[in-house]
Amino acid sequence: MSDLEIKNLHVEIEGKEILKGVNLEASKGEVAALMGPNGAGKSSLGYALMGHPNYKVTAGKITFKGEDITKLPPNERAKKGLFLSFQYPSEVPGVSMANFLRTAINSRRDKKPTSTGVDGAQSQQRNSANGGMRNRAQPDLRLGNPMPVGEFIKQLREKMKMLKIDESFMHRYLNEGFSGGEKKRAEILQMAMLKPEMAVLDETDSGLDVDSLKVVAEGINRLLNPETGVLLITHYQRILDYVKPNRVYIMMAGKIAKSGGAELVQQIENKGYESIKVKAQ
Amino acid sequence: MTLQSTKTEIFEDGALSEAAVRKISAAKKEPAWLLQQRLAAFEAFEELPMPQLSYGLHVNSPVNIALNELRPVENIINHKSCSEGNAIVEDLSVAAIKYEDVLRPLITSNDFRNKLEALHSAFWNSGIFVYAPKMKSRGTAEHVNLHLQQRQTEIVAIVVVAEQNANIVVTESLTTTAAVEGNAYRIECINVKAAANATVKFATLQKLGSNANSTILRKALAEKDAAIDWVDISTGEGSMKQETITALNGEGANSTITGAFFGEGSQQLDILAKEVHNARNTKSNIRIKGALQGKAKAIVQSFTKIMKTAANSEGRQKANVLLLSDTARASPIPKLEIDNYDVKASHEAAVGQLDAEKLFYLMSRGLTSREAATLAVEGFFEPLLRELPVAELADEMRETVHNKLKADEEGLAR
Repeated sequence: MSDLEIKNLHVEIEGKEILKGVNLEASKGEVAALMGPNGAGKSSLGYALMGHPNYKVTAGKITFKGEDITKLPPNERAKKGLFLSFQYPSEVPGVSMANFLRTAINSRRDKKPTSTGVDGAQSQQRNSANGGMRNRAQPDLRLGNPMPVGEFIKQLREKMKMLKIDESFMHRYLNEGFSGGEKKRAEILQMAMLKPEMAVLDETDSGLDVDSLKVVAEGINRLLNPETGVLLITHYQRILDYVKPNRVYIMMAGKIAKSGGAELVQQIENKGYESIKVKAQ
Repeated sequence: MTLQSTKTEIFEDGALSEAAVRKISAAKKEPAWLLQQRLAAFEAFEELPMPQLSYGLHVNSPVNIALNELRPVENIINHKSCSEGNAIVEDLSVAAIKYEDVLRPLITSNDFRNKLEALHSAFWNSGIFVYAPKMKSRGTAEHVNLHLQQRQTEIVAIVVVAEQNANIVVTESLTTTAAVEGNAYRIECINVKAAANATVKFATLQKLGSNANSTILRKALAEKDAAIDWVDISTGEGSMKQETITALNGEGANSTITGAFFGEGSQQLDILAKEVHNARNTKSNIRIKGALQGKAKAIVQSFTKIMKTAANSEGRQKANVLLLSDTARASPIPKLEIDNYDVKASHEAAVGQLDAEKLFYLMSRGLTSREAATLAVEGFFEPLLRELPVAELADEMRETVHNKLKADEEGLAR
């Protein structure tokens, strides 16, 4: 059983079906690559995984670490260890990167159901209604009281150094006025700080020059460990030269058209997505 | 420096009559010229119409004043004088004798725009004079803090005069006592004059309770190379009509008006910020940000007027209102009136809601919908607060925003 399992997932936006029965698995400690042409539904899968309210799941389910998360709000998914690196991250004026990250970290550490508000209370109910999975009520070992400021700043500095992000970005407003490449690095920085168990990286390579790509890929590689897995969504094979996938999924028109090992990447590189389409039919 | 203490005297007859005018003036031991000014204002009060309370087709000011409820004589307040460094704070009626040459030309006026202004001039029952004498060169700023706690209806006059090269920061914080019964109306006029090369920052922190509706008029004139910065943090719970008007009369003068408000419940806010450029090389900037939840309503007028005489001037304005509920309403009314080709001017006004994509982004990192909304609203105000000319008030606003959002937990978490 894989940590992340997507079974027969159907998703629609504003009444239009965009994912038409997706099956996909990814596990901690591994890299799964999701490739496909523009408009295949790759980013939609990323949003649906994270629980974007506009992406309605009409059939199928998503399980994470054996638990059905299909109906959880985004923050509950995040707390369970899911992370999405956005292709186009929102700019949040007035909220500094440091302030935001500290709020996010402390929000995840805070497990008391009373202080997580309406969402927390609902999920607690849902858990008990489902029965079983009693271990979920147990606090995660990494969670606890708010992270001390000194410890937080120390970690943030370290990770920024690793991703070659200037320290001044700490105090800049989140993503505001960042270049495309800076936004992508900032997303990976958030991943590094939040330490997810499964990170979905949506087109993290797009808009990066070769040097930035190397820095970002190196960052991802260093974050990979037995407790962290990656689902890498990409249009090109470029980033896969640096981050080696264990399995590869090719998505076409809202479905997985083919899956296999790293050798699939080379096939796409040589023959393009058209070759898959023919086989799939 | 902080204004020390106040004293209340109780009189029986309180109606808005000529006798009441004389009673207030006598109780305050005012000089004859000031009584004459009050009486002239009373005459105008009887003749003038109420102020314009509607703008455009569908926007009406929410603030109505029941004149028959006003009892200025019942609550006459005398302020104790204090001074520290060069600046002086004095009861306005006492100052009318000591500083007649300064105050008489400033206070003497028959130019009332409406009934309310005349009422104020005739019946003010609490007056404060802040005086920053002439300096050889512009030094570091002196701070005057006015803590004005309201018990019942008050009609307040504040006059600030900064003579040549003076540099002064005046902060008034308006609160109501817990003991207020019924409605405590506040009518306040602030009159600021900055002489050549003087700098005045005037900040109002309005924290009046829900039973204290207010009308606050803030007027300033800036002479050559003078600077006037208005700050207005409105976190009170009552309805409010507030006007801030600066006349840039001297060459090279500049002024900013920075306002932040948070309205909730059934609060109604009517805000006007106006900069009038009368002289060359003058600069102004209006920035207003507000958030409304519940059924709160706001009218935000920003008005930049550049006269023919004000070549090479620059006027900017920006107003943003964030609606946090489906029932809150806001009408920003931006206005530019320019009578000179050689100027730079810009305006921007927007009403919006929290961006759903932004909230999803924040929630995807583990923040609850409420935490995400709170962070986004705090972020909305933050750029303005970081540049607040009177930085001390930024934390007041931050705290209020945080607490009011917390109180409205369910509304935001929808």
